[in-house]
Amino acid sequence: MSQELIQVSDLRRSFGATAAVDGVSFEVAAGEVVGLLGPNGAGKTTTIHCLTTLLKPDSGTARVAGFDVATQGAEVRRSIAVTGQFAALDELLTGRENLVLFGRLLGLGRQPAAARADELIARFDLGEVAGKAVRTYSGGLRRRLDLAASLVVDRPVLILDEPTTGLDPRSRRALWEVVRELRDGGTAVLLTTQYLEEADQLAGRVLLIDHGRVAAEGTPDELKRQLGGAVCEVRIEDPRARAVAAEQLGAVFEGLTEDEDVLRLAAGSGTLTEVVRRLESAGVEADDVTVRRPTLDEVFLSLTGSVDAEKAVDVDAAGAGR
Amino acid sequence: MSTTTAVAASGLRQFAVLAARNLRQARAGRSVGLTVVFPLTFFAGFMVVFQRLMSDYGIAYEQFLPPAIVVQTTALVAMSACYMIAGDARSGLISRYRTLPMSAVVVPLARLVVDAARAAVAVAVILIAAVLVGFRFTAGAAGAAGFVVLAVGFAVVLAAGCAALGLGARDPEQVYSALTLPYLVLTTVSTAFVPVDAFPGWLQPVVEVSPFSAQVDALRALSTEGADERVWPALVWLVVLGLLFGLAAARSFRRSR
Repeated sequence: MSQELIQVSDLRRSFGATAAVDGVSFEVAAGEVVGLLGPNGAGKTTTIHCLTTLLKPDSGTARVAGFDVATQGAEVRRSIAVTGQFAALDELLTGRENLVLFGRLLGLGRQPAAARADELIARFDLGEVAGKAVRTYSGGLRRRLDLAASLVVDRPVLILDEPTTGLDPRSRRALWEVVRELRDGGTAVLLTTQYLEEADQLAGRVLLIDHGRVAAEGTPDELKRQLGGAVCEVRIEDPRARAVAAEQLGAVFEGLTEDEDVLRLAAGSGTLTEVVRRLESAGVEADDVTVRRPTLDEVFLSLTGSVDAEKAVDVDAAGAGR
Repeated sequence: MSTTTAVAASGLRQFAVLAARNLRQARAGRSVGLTVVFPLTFFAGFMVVFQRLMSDYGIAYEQFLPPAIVVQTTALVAMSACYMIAGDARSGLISRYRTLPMSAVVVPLARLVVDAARAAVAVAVILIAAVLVGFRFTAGAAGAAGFVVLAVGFAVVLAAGCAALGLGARDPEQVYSALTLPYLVLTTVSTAFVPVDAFPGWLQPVVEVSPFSAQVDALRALSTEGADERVWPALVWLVVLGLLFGLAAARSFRRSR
């Protein structure tokens, strides 16, 4: 069998007149993490639903572990572990009982299901709450238990739909660790996320999805380069001082742009010190000098061809900060 | 992390595991209590208001009414099945089941077996109350057994239809209240509370073909003269609706939208 455990080719799925997935193609190999990155409504979840047999594609093919999702649903379901966007747990049962329930449903005997539940409780740091009913859990706890529930048995393919949405930073990191371990063990992992940082941390390859299409594809570094990397912004309110600064900086840096009272240039290592030094020697006092990475907003705006940097939000707000 | 190889889970085990879980859900929701309170209140009210009036027309209402109350109860059991399964659909649990290697019939069947148990308990409660006010099985034990089996069977068939609806619904409260109207129409426009000739002429054909009339008439036969030709329409309805709703429930679970 091919090492490509997920093969999607020209996948399409519409809801009425809306093309949710409009010709998406990609592959995920064993031991690889591929991230689908995109805003809400981009078509990420619809793609996931097609791969997990919850939805039938209109056209195109999708194969999971070699099985066609449209015609070999039962085989596909035997090959995947899935964590959906919303924690799908039994509110009535305790965390431990949930894990045992899913273990039993997946064919484990009473003893192995219980042993596996305890193992996962330890792994996901759920010991304190394992005996409590899930309806008393916080959002973060639910997500953790939900992921644990999808890992009750080992599957060649793991599919995660926004696994860390609503998770605190500690739980998020713990989850990333688990995903990396599974990847190293040879699992093919497909995950969707709205966070650039998450894609950066986990995914070997990222597909930027917008309006049901793949807008860009590559390693996180390739994408960042494609998007122009970090930006240095120098804000000077005094027009005369700004003109002097523009002249000085323009002589050293290529592609300097002026946008109202802000001078903007591409930032590399050492850019900030160089800018500050140049301004100092020119005797210009800047009102503000910042270096920031492009935000997720800018990524999509640049890809959809309507960059409006003035509206760009703070780096951390988009989850792109470290 | 140790390696846990997935063995093919048998449908039977999945059924047993889910049925146990559903039973627990039913007990936690005190669902039997809720499904008998309304019919018992109804029973008491109707007895007080109509018993003397009906006896003027030669109808022993304490014998006439209980089968109707039983049908009312079984319909409520079915409606609460819809409520519970819609709740599971809303929480995402059903979607998770749908991504697991499970046969399409396991989830609906595990629902229905618990609904059968709930119906049996609810019917028993109603019958105890009925006997207290003078209801009797005059056709003996076989008739009584047939009565209970038919009543539970009707509850299961209705629950299958309701489960099909509930699986497609996202809001348990909404789908439950949407079912209230057909419930009221079907129970009142039938021979449940008054004989067919008490209805206006134009409505009588509707009353006569109603599956609820068939069910009530069959239960009345089984509690008085025993199994006679009045049981057949109920059995036909049971089989037809059973196939229809059973198929709908399985399809609704494995529906690829």
